[in-house]
Amino acid sequence: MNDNKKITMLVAEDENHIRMLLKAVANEIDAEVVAEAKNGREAVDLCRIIKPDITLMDINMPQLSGLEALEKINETNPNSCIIMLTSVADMDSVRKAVKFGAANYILKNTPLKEMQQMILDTWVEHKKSLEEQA
Amino acid sequence: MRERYDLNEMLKEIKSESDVDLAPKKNEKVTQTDISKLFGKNKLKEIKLGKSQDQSGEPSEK
Repeated sequence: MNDNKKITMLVAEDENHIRMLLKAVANEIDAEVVAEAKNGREAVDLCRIIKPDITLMDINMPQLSGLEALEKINETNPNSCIIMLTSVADMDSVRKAVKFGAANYILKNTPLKEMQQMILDTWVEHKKSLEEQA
Repeated sequence: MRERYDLNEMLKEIKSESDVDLAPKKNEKVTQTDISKLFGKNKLKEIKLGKSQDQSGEPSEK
């Protein structure tokens, strides 16, 4: 990605007010929410079409869970930067997220400033690892 | 004629005769710090392996 361009972001979240909040979070870190998904199925489809820099993925969503969507997206594009953003705080889900190739896993109760920094750090680290692979 | 067993009694006996914990394993709750440590360790493993993803299907906190 060109450093002058805004980071493009897909927000996959079934709760409307949380999508709004995440758009504000994205704005704070100079990222642009280019698409929104209300369920896991939409997230998979939009990721394939739009190829956003970062996907913020909830876990508990209808049709396809965030973890199932993560697995499907990484099957076709293992270089995706998918950050799980959820209130699910159990070890099984975290292990699955690692297994399916999530770039990070952030709990929704994380303070917003910290959350913004974690998203940015994850993106920088992800970009660096892609550049090292190239 | 088939002998009838009291499963609850059998379970009590098994528990008393062994140290095996037969209770279903509870799903462990985690904090953001635990998660960050787990992801940090996994990243280290990726760097060592030179891979973008852990292909073993297991996180590296083992």
